[in-house]
Amino acid sequence: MRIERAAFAALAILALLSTYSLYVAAMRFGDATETFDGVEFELVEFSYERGSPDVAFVMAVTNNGVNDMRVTGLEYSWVVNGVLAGGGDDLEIRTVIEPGETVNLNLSGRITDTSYVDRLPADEAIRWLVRGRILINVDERMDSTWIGFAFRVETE
Amino acid sequence: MTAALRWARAVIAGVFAGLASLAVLTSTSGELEALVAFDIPTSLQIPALMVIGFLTGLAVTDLARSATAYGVNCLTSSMLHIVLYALPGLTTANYTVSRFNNGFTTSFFVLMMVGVFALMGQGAALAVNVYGRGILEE
Repeated sequence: MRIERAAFAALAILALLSTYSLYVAAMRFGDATETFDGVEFELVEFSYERGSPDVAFVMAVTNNGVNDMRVTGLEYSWVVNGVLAGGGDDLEIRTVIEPGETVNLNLSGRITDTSYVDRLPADEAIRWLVRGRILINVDERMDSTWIGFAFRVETE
Repeated sequence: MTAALRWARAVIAGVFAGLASLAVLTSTSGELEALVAFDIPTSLQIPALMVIGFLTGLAVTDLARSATAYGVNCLTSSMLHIVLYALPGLTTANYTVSRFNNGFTTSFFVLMMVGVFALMGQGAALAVNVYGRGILEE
């Protein structure tokens, strides 16, 4: 009977410690998920001049979550009138966005074939689809994750 | 102790064992591994599950109640595992289904691991209960 009681008490202590550990994990997981779920992207500015291979845009990233959000990589490309026409990346970026904060990322890239854009009718707007993905980390203990984004914009 | 209390004790022992087994598996594998409060080395995953099964077998000695505790252990750990994974999905708009789905799928892993290794531990405890007592009585 003494062994039974000792084993039962040991199980009770283990269960107590386990409950605390699982509670902590659940809270951290919830905060990370909320931060991941609350991230917002907005295209603030997009600039391109016909004939130039350079494209520049400003993207605002807002952290609506509860954890700090670290941005560690960006990849993007653009589709011009339905044709993939180049892009760029920034894999050296190291930006930390605090909860409730918005950061504007100045990004630039190149068009692979400017002659395609040149051939487009000058009196028609160029329809761009800016698409890409951003590598973010919402908890230092967890792996970073890519999140996709896409914007539509027109230029002269 | 009445029979009802013995059964209740077996169920409670199973719930305790289920919580401990779930903490062991969560701390040593899966998405939440890095988020737990107490870090457990991955190499201790299987021995820890066996020790929990062994303790369950020692806490509940007769076979019928021990088997009940074993079943409760398996069900508690796997069911709580689903809840643990699905819980953040209940408060966020986009991840409810995927979280639940992920938790449901990996809970089979929990059920299998606890089912196999806790049973081994409980089998060892049964041997200790049967042969160990005989040796002590001699």
